[in-house]
Amino acid sequence: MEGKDRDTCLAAALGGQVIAPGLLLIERRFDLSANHGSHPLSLLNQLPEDLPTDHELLPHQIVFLDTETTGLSGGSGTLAFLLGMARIGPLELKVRQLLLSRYCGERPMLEQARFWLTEGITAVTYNGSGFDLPLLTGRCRINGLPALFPAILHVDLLHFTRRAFSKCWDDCRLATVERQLLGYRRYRDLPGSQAPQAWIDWIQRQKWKALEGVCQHNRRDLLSLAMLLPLLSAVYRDPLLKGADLLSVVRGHLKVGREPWALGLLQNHRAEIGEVGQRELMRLLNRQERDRQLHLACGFDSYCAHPGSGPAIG
Amino acid sequence: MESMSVQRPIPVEPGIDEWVGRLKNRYGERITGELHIPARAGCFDDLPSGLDSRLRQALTARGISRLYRHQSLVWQALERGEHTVVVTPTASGKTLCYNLPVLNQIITHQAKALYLFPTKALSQDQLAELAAINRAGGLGVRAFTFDGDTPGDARKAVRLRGDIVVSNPDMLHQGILPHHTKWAQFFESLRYVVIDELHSYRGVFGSHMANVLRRLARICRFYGSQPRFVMASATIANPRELAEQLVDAPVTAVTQSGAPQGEKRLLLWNPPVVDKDLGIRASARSQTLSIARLAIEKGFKSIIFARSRLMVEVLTKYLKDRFDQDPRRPPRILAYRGGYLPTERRAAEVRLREGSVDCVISTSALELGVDIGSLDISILNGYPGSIAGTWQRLGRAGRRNRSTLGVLVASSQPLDQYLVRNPDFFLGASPEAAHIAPDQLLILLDHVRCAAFELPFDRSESFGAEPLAEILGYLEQQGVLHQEGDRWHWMADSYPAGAVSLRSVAEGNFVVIDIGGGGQKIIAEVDFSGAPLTLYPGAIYMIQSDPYQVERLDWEGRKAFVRRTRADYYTDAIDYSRLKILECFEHTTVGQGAVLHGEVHLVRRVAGYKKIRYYTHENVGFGKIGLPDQEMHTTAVWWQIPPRLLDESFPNRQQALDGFLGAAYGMHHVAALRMMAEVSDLGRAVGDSEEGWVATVGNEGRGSLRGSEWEEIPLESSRCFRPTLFLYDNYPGGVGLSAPLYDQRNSVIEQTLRLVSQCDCRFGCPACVGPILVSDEVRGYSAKDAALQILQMFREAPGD
Repeated sequence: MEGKDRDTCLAAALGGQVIAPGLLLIERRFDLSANHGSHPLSLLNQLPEDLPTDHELLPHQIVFLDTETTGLSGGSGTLAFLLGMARIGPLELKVRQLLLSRYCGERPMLEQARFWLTEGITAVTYNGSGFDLPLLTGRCRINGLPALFPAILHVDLLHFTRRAFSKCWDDCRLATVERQLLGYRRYRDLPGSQAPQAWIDWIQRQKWKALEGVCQHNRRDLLSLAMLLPLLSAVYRDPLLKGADLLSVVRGHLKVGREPWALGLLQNHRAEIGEVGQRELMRLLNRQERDRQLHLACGFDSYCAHPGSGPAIG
Repeated sequence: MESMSVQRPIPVEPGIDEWVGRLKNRYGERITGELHIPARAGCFDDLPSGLDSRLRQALTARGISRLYRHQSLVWQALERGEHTVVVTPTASGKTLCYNLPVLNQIITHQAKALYLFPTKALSQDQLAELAAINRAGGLGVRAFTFDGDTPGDARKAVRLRGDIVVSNPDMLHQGILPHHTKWAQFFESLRYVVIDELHSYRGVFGSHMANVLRRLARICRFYGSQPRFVMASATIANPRELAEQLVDAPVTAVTQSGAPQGEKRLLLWNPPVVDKDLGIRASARSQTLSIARLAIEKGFKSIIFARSRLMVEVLTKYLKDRFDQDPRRPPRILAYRGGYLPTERRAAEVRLREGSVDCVISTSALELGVDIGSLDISILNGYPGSIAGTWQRLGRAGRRNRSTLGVLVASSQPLDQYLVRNPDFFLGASPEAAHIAPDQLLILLDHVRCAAFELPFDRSESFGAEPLAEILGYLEQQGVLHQEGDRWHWMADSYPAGAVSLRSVAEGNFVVIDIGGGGQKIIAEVDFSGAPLTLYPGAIYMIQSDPYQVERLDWEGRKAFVRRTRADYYTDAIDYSRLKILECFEHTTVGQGAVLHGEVHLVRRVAGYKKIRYYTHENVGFGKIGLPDQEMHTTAVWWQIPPRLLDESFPNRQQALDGFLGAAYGMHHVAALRMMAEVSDLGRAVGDSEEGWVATVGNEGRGSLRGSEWEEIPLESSRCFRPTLFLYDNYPGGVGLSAPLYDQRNSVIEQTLRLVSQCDCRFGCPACVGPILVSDEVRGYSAKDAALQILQMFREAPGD
């Protein structure tokens, strides 16, 4: 079979379309009124600001990103054969997947990805800084394209998950997150570790069945990733609700200068924070007091303990 | 780079000369040859006009106002854009040859440079050197090492900010090239690649290195850079040829050193004969120790080179027993060898440089240019196996313009004896040539695999001398590559460089873990090939001459568990090799027999070990070893004689077998000399060529046969007795030693005949046909004569 015909066959089998030689686009939409696990997707449209990120996250500016690759060992010989991206619309979560049906599709895939990524402002990933982003940066270099990620900001939810839960859970894999936070269980899911072989089977023997499983797996990853954002925000608003590590969360807020959030959490949970937490609380209160004195000394007649918009606590 | 500043009068050390005179008076009959190299004045040029003023200032600050001629020639060659190799002795300002042009490019053109050293210790030295110049001139050049010890969070900074990255071939192969996209900025500006200790890239390591450099060049082309290679080598016969083979391009060679040189003396020392009948001489070990003791008592600082790690430990123990008895005083004796942990080695290097050590005992690990400060005497316990290696080791004494002494103490090995009895051969010989076989198919295949992982292959590309399309086709069949249009893409879920070791052919080092005192502490590392011979359960493993006994060996987990012991013996492994002929490439008749060249299958068993008591060296027991057999395919040359003729020529099979074993012993050593290889690069075996039986020299000194289960079998029991004498290439797949060996089959036989017939012994000794424990009277015939008879039968024109 010619390469072109192969592209068409695969597109038909997976319900996608050929958008360049060796490159397919598969689009799926998920109604925001539906549930993912035990939570409604509609949470995505009211993102609270409790996650201590460096910059603001607005629903319509976010691109959720996840890749499936030909190997997990890294290095220049590993490529992303499936690149999934999801965006939040007013009524639906729109998932677009770029799938390589041949090696020659890689360059147009990266170009298309760049175009869609720059429609948003922030890419949100799970372990993107350790895996997906360096990999894509390397692939751009090999294809002689400019790097994707100075062009767009990035938030890696793995960092926030680790901070809140690494002391409480055995690991912070996405599957654990789904079980512990999302109340989501996958049925008949193709394990991510089998993704490389699935693509190799397609390239060498034109067996596409497993690829269908990979695409579905990737969509589920994207949905879980998206849902993790509002749920993790809730954790950073009230860590004890989901059994997160309170002091680590407090430090997360302090790291980006959100003292009011940190102070609020410590004061609200005075009974649970232990000796270390008490010390931290005293330190913050002393500092607040010092700032207040300084303000007064400078001639200001009032001092606001919570400048700007503080967290909605309680 | 020390001592290159101003031309100072070369200080004469009356101490050494006087001492040598005394040695000659007292031990004149043991000194079979002497070489005296008078001091030599230096040859200088002005600093080059293109030199940046900051660099000029840095040099002046370090007292350097002009260059040695060879430094200036390297500068000029690089100015012309040529790849360059410089060959100079130790302490001749070699590092400045490359540091000067490299630093100049960096500060004037924001260029980048990659330095490759064969070992991490050398990288550390180099970094200190660069830091010194950098400080002196306020150059602001950022030089970092990048190796296995570089912490993860520092790696990014090295990649992005390093002007000079100092690394080693293994790291380039496994850590840098497969991640080249992370190094994109570095490769784009890469202007110079410095390869020091070029001579160490020979044999398997060199063949791998040539392929790593092919991969490096390919990556550089991708990023649009064309770095120049600046190489430095110790004296070998073919530096330019080796450099050109390694970088696959024409190279300019600078071979005349312009540095002044101190006076050098060399003595060839043969231990006295203690049993004339058996041809047994006093051991090299005892002589080396005596010379070292005299030297230490006289206040000279010395280095002893031993040929094995075991011998390092034995010598260290004896010298420590003598000089380090008082635990309150800092130790004067130091052992240094591969297998010690990096931290321990670094600490030893510091102590050496400080001059707080009176005698260091080392394997070839210190042969390379680790800066070890100033030493007066270098003692070689046995011939290192090559002339280049001998000079390299002798050169470790006297880096600072002092008059120095080297003593080569011959062991009873055939090569040693040949050399000390024919001093002109050694003193007049040119050093050996270094050979590599970059297109050896297994090695090439490994690196094509790695290269395909790094970047897809285009139809128009080439890689090595073999047709690339065939190799790519083969890899596609193996399912690791996929062809699409004119390109071959990597297609497997694996990291190929991780499975390819540049140094050895099998992967996986063993760690030695001390389980004494309840805990588990890693105290040493042993490479895969050395493990079966040193880490079997029951083995005494020594570190700084402290004995540890191996209690358990976890072969799969690559771990040996040891405990401190007080044993008064050390252990030595016994191994057998069995070969089966797989395919014959070519053959011819020689004399009354035939010689053949082809592919063989080899099974090696480490069967047991001997316990040898310190000082008396008596054999105090045996132990069995139950390790898995090791197998490999390799190439070999083998000699056979028709069974009928053998029956007619020898009264019994025992004599014929002893003849074969004796001839094999001599031929093995001569072949290594002819091939310019280390003795361990070749293996020898006498067997029946069908993996049926293998012959060994038993405990009582007679040849005996072992069957397919390694059990001893009676000599007369086998129906057809067709002994085959194998000399094989001791690396999986072969590294190109057997084809030239086959070509030189006649000179190997002729020279072995000369070696055996000229030997002083009566019925065979370690210097000709191997250790013979049983005397003529007991045997009823001479094993030496039997070996000579076999050699005569393989002679091209018998009777000449």
